[in-house]
Amino acid sequence: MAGSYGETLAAALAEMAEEAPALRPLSPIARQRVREGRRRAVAAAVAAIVGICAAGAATIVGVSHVTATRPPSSPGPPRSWSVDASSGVDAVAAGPKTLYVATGDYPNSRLSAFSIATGTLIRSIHVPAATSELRVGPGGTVWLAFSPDQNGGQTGVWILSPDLRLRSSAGTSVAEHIGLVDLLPIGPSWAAVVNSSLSELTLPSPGQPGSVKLRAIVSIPSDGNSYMQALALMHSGFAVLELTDRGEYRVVMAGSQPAVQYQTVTGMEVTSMTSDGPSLWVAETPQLNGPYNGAVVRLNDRLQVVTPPAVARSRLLRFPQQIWNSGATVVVSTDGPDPLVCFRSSGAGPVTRIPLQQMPADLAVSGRNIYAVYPDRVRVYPIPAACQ
Amino acid sequence: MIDPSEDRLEILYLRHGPQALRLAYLLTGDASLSEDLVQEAFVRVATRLTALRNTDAFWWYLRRTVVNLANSQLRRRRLEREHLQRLAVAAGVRGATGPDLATREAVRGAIEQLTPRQRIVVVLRYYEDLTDRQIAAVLGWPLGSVKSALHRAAEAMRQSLRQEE
Repeated sequence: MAGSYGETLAAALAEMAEEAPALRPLSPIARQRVREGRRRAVAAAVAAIVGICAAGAATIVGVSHVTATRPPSSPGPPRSWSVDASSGVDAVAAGPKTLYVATGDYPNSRLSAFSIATGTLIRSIHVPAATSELRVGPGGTVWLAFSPDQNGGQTGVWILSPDLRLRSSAGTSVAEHIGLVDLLPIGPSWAAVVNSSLSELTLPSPGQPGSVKLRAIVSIPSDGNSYMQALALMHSGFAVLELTDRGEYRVVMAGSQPAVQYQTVTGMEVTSMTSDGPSLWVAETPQLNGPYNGAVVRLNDRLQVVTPPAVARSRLLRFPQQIWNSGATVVVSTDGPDPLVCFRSSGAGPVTRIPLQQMPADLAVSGRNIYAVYPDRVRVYPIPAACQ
Repeated sequence: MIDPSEDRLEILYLRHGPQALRLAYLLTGDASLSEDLVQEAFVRVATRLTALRNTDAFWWYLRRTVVNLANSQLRRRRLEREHLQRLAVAAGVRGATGPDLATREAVRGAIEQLTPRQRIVVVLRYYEDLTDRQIAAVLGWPLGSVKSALHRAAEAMRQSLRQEE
């Protein structure tokens, strides 16, 4: 191929885009649908305001550029607040009291912390590249990994205090050695990471002096040239998601000999996994053309399939993408008509839709809430009772 | 806040419509479908975002809706195969535009053979110039899925191009 792969591809796509038809005017039917839709939205908003006033508990919290709204007759946390994340949401993570939102390309990458109780911005700091991993660890410390993209930037790992005021860092050499495919905080200042083996990365506590340590804990059973994709901590040990050089996905228990593993059928991709302790939940989606049916699968500590019938049979889970776990609840985003659903991790009870106005750029699940981050707003959705 | 008046609606449509149309066309390869898809996406976004304060965010919502609608269409209608046949006819009437024509034609052919998932990530990466993270945010996919789809797309394209030679 002449020139670089990317340049040639970009040129071909630009040429194809030139062949797109000219924009035709917005049709009268489309205009009418917009008008009617907006009328309905305004009517619903008026009804909500009337409800709030009647309850006598309306509270609008306005702090600097953040506007938060609370549900009627509830002294609890706000249901939404405005943010400026139009530069792009890179990652979201939630702690018990704080929501962290990483935004923007290099050189404008930032990490912001918002109070979950009030929706107010606690602090926003500059990050030297786009965020690749963002996790809240035990004790509320914030783990942030960043790496360059096509816009540039540096590679590194930070551990920050919950208010983002203090930090410690692992420099480029350590961060590049890790590969940063996933990072799982285990203790207040150490996290499990994967490179050729499962390793322990220890950083000084935020703001404290000390050295960075990286030490291999246990080997990962590998089938040829595997690319490690994700990590999850089960009661029985670390589960690692591998993509083999044959394009097959498999989950293996780190350190197991012979390998305790779960392998997908050819053409299926494991897009996401999460552990509730005794078991591992895996989202599978087909990679290729053909019948498009994915599945959510539960694996036990021997990585044997033990999916509850209600989950295995649910039509809402045919197109799973990402999967989260919080307490007794599993939340799944899907590529189907119902973008967010949940169920109890015990498998008892139904798979339930979570009504979203729009699928967010990213979301975090913590406690009994789902925090959906849009370019202009954070919306808080309570986890339905049927899933708790 | 976006004014619900017709004038503001028109401005938003004229500002973002052409870009949305090019994106829809690249994703579906179907001119007529992409026109319908953009109108539908615009109605959905303009209806919901009555109180959008940050107008920069409008494009994010519109792009996401276009991609989602295109994704559903591709899944349902298997447009790839049909379009490939149409393109083979269209290729015969396309004029020469430069010395790299043969290469670009081969690349176009290779793009047409990508799966819908691969095509979407390739368009967002190499036409929209989004980062892997941003693609993941637009699609609602995990980052790893975006990376592996891009990797598989590159492999599929190399294979197609080798067969061309």
